[in-house]
Amino acid sequence: MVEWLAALRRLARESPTLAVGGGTLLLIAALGLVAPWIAPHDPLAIAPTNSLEPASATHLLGTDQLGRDLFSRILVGTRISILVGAAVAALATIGGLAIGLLAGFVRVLDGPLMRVMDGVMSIPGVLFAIALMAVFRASVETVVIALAIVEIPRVVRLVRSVVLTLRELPFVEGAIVSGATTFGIVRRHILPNTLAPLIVQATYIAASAIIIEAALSFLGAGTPPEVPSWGNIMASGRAFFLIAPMLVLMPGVVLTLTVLAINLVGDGLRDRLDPKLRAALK
Amino acid sequence: MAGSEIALEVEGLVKHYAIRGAAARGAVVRAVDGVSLRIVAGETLALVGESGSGKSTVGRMILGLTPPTAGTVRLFGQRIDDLDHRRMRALRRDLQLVFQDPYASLNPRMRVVDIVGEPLANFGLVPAAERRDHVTEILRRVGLGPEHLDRLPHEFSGGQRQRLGIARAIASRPRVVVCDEPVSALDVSVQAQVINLLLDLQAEFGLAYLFIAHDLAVVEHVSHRTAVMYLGALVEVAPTRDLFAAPRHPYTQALLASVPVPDPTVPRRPPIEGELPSAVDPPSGCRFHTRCPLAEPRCRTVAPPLRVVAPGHEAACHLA
Repeated sequence: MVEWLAALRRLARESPTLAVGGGTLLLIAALGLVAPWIAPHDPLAIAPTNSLEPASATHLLGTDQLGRDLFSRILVGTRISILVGAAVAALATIGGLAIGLLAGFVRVLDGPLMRVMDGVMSIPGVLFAIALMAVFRASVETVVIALAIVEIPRVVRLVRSVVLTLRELPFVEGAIVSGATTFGIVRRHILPNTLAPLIVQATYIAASAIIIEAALSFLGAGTPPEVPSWGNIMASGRAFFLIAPMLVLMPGVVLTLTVLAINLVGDGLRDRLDPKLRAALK
Repeated sequence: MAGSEIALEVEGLVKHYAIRGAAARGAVVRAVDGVSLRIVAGETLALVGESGSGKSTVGRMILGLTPPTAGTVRLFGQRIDDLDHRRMRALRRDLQLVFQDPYASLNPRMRVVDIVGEPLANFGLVPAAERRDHVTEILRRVGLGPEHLDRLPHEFSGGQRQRLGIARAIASRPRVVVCDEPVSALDVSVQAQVINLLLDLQAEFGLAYLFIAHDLAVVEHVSHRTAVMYLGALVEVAPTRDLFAAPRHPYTQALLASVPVPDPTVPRRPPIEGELPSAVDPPSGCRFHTRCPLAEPRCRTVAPPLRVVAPGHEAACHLA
């Protein structure tokens, strides 16, 4: 326990951005996780007599036009944002890693794959999500899939460029001479050296996915109204902005904080995972 | 050495690189243009030449890292240049490489025990449980201790890293090792240690070395025979002692004359004039005629073949 604290303290001293961002992010994610149990009110419970109440002891941030508790709604909405951010980052990273490795290693696939990726990259994420939503059904899964597809080309480009750089390096040729199979080279020499930039990229993808999801929900093309999310809380509250500005401001502030925390983690990891930058930190 | 088994035989090795772009349609870089070499077991053959002469490309083609445009490579009589990946991989156990750059040739994220143990694992030579002990023994051979097993490459000096590269190369007990400028990236003080290590290992395991280098002092010290390359082709091959005492090709003579003598009273010989011609459009006839002080009219039109000019001594010059 003491060692644990010492390690944390060292991390806070060496990489304050990582410590602050990571701490904030962990707190937000943890709150989202336990939201249904700690929320003071049912986020969907309508109480027309209490509509647009100001902040009070019972309703920490007041209520919306239907008398629903804003604090509980934002708390529960955290789940959607964190889920979308994590799922999109994971899917885009895994998909992009696979395609990037193929493009980097199988020369005949490189051209076709990268042209397809250029095509996908030209699709605006919001538009693509709305289109998918129109074809299939409006759900969190559809949002996740749409955003993951749009983010994949970025990961592919990163992985391909790292693979192309690494495969020419003497230590990869050393592995070939040492009898390594292509699979062994990827597993032992390429992947470990790709992971660091990939993790950093994943954090930026998560941040951008959270923002786009909020935008979609705000436009009414994201999560259905019965699932509170930061985007649709802001959307339903915007008509009452002059009377109850909290309805728009508070979800916005939490959204900004979350994205800021993720970006801080990304920057901190970038500095820490690069051996050269890391030496400079000490 | 004489009469021993031929470890490595290279016959008419050619590497042409096509140049991209409309303006250069059909043009090729003749990086290597017909090189033939033989190395017997336990022998060191040095391959020397300027930057761009194609000596490293020859090494890479022998190792199968660069596919040759033409020519054959035989390892103990078996042709290896046309093998598929699977069979070539099995053969690599016998044919290893020591890299020039001791920094870039070791994976920065792998520990010594895994770096040196990689060939042992890949070739299935030593079971995983015994690998650590085995690597310890190999490290001892190259002058490193068991305390180095779990370190990362960046914790070592350049000379130590090159010892690691050598340890990896000898781990599978190869019979032929290509040393691609193994000491040119090291401090002079460390060069001698690494060279002595290579010589010790040769004596212990009977290794045959193809020693690619441009430092003639090093070559004179380590090699039994020396081959001189100019613009993708061999110009002279001879026992090292003969080559240094009585070079027959004007290029070799100029190369040896360019070695600085640490005595200010010795007058400096004039350097070779001009630049290395382009390998895209090499000179007609003898490739060296544009810079040769002795060039005659026939040198411009007739390419001199490599021919025996003394016992064991070959030169590609009309006048040798």
